[in-house]
Amino acid sequence: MPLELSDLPSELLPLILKPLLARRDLYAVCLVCRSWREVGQRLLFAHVRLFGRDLAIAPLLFQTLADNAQLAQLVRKLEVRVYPLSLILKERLETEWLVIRMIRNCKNCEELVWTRKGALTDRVFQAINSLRRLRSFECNAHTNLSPGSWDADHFLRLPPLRSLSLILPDRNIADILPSFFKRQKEVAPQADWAGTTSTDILLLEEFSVLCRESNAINDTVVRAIAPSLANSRLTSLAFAGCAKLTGAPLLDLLPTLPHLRHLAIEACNLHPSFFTSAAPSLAQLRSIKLTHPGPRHLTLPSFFPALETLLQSTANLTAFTLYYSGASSTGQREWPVLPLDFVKSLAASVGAKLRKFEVSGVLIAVEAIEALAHSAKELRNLVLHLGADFDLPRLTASFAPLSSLRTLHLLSQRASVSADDVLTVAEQCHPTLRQIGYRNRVWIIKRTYYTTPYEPQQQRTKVRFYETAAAFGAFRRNRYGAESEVETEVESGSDFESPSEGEEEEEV
Amino acid sequence: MSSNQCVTLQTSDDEQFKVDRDVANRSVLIRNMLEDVGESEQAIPLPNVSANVLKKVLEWCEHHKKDPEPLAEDLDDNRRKTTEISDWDAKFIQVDQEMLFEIILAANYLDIKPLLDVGCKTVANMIKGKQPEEIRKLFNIVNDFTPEEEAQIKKENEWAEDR
Repeated sequence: MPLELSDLPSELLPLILKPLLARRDLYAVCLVCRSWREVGQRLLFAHVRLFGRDLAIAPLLFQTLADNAQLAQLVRKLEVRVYPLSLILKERLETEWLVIRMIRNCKNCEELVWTRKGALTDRVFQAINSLRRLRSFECNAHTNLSPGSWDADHFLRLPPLRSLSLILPDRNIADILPSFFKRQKEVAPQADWAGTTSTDILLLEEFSVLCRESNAINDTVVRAIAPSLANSRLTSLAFAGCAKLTGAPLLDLLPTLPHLRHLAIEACNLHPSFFTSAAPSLAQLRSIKLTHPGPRHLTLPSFFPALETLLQSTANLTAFTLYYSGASSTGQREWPVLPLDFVKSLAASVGAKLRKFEVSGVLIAVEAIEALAHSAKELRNLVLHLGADFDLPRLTASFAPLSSLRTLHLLSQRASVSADDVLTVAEQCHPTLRQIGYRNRVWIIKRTYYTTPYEPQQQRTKVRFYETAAAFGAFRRNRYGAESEVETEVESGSDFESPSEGEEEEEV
Repeated sequence: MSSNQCVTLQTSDDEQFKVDRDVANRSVLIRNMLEDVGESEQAIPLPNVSANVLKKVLEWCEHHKKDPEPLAEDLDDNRRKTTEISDWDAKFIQVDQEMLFEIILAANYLDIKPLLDVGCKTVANMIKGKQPEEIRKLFNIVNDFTPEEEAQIKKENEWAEDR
């Protein structure tokens, strides 16, 4: 009797179903038979993620988890990025009560994302503080929104976290942060694995602050939390949009972070001399994410030379992200340019290990791309911003050395490039390429292999392109600039999309 | 330890395969056995693998014998990559269902994690986009739910339907 799927040992079923991410697929899996249901539901509820269009199902999901404690206990990661906020007080209170019951049920939740403006209240935060297994928390940290305002002191009752991400923190949060970190040290398990008595070690590995041109997180705040962060296990640190944050407190902090590997400093008040001064303490860095100071900024002449100096001391860097998003006061946008000499220097100092290079809002010339691709042959994720005028065949040829390239996104001021042109670029890239984008369009590339009865020895390739909306912009979502998560977006996103009208087939 | 040494493997149907040690080492089971017994001329018995399956598995090991040990960050990467399969592996795994399950079984027994992954991802790709009834038909699975159970599962998972 031939071997069948049901003959395989039952411990293999979770491995087989684990690659399935789309909820629709897991829904079907649960309805196949009893043994599949058990595995399928565990996968379906392990990571519950609500974003974008999921607003429509949010109430149903909340209700399900509020009513069924057993299912809720399967939840390891609860990611709520959309949230039904009614204008009617009574309905808002009903939703609040529902999510409180839901959160209390999710006893095994380790990661919580609660970012919707207005979704956090005192009572919701109390429920969050009942999650004793919580290790990762991302929230909208504005305490004084209407609807939804809450007391910053709740932060003092959080269990010891490995990852904290604050979105739009206000003054109240800034004020509580020093005591929050002190408290985190106190509640952290005190003995390390070697059994030695190490006291006061912060558990935190990732810390991210995202502001929008706010003064809340400034030099004073960073100086106040620095003693708690010193000699911690922090591997990832990100500050974005902290308009008053300068390099000064960071230059004191960085040498005390021996485990730091990922650093993002975006739209803060950094002087280029920061990069030169910080270089000695950033030798172990794996990824860096920065913003360009702007084409007219007074410090621009020293920006790239200082960055070159930094990159010369980061021999293990695998990911480099640089972008510029400022608009000029005249409304006429002026694009800064990535100097060829800088790209050559970057390629020489970190090219060999570089896997991700993402530069947007800063224009790059084809000649610079050639120099990059020549040295950085291991590149997997590439985002490039081209000017209005570039030589398409020469651009295409420049990708030839990239034998591991997985995702390629091209931004450009030039509208005259057709979808066919883009897909031609994709076909001429190495077959490792899984996704290509141009401006605001993104295509998933799927290859299948088959033989014909006439030539059974001859494997043929069929290349298909699926356009998807889900992946656009995904390249900016990674907070610390580490290697791209674009492909997760692709996996979960592509299943919503039907093949585009311009589906192309090619036989090789 | 010289990596050019040959190792003899004996299948369940008593066929013997002579392979380079670095090919055989792709299997953690064999590698551990070799480390335990040291230098030996004796064939290593693999009572759970037949010749036609081992031939296929060795083809994979041969192609991947120079693969570096995965870095920690790559393992992390793989978890995210979900159903992606490399070019060569995708061609390699174009086999009928029975051989596919034989490969999965052998990779599990021989402890060849990356090959097991390729096999599992291939099955997952077959499931993608299908309705429960289509999945049952594809893999010859019996529906053992009562109508009440089925209704309850649908209710519990309703939020995930068509999403």
